[in-house]
Amino acid sequence: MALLSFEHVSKHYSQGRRDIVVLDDVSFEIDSGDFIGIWGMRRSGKSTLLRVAAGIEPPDQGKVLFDGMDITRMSAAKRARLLRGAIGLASMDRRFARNQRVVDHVALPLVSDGVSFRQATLAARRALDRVGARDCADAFASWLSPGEQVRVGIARTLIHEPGLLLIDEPALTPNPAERDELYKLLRALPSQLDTTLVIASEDTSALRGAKRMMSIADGQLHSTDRAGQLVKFPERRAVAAERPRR
Amino acid sequence: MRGPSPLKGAVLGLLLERPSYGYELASRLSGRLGPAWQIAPKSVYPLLDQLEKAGLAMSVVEPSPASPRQQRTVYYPTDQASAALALWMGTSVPKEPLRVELQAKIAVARTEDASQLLAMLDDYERECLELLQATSDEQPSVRSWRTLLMDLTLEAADAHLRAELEWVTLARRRIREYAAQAEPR
Repeated sequence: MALLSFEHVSKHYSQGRRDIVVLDDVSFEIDSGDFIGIWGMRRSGKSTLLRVAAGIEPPDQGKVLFDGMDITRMSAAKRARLLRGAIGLASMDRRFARNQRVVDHVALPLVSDGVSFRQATLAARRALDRVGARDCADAFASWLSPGEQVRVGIARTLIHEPGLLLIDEPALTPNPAERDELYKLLRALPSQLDTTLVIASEDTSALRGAKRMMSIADGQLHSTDRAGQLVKFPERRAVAAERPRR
Repeated sequence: MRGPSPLKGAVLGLLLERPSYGYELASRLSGRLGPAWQIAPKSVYPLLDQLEKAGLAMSVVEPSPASPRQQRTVYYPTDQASAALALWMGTSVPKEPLRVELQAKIAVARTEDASQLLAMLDDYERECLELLQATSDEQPSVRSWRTLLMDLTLEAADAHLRAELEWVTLARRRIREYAAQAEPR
């Protein structure tokens, strides 16, 4: 059974009178232990795809199955529990409390779950170590460089050691050497943590070594399977007639 | 050293690093340049022949160290090889056209060919994704001149693939937009 599957998922936003299709009849499957690279230009639908996969945004149409469970039909509370455990989404919107220590920021999700402060802090330091940000642990968030903020954001997602780790645009690290080092650390995560890794980026070097590659453009997904062949998607359905559902 | 293949210079460079036989040279060349070049072992032999005819390499039939009953042809650089490589390094790099056939088809496509054009763009995008998938940067973390050169080769392949993927995305979007506007209402 696939770890994550999208079945004819569509999503649109309204912008004034314009109807913008962000995901257009997207179907794919991801197996456990995979490393999937998703390439797309800005505003191609990458971030929405990951937010829908994480259960943060509901699709307008279609099903999203995680480990066989349809997350589009789950209650908000159950989806939130899933996001705090089995699925981790690291998006780089960098919401840090400026006067908070990095280690406390990373440990917070575990503390909120009732884990002791000491245990949570230890786990936070381990997570920071995994992304090469051990030296940032005792710094304040406001001291961090953009590259360090990216690492800290990923560490906070890693704290639960999720089975499915979704990383949205790690390329925001401006220094090329730092960026390459981060990419190498990320690539090692599936084997270190027994996790499934999905990286969405416009930077092709972030996706090197992926077992499977997809591209997204104007909400449509194109893909290669492991053997380098095109995944045979089911026939496209007429989505326009059924939309929108409010 | 003149010739149609830029790989001839690269093969000579590898020979100067270490004399070797065809298959090993092809593997080394492929490892150094990356999968985007799609180097087949047999493509190296004509280059070695050309280098030998130009007096830059010399072939010697030797017993294979692994099984001495078998023989293989080992290529050695001649005394002129080093100067020829230096000369090649200094020559200007010609600008080569990309995706020649695809561009030729685009240049003359009719409106009724639009759907085939879109399918070709999809195929080309898939090829780029497959090359990206095949690109690995598993290399020793030791910093050396060799790893720096491998980094630069990988970055060149990345930059090329990224540009191609962006071009495909924009080309497909523009064809679709045109087709949508041209549709009778």
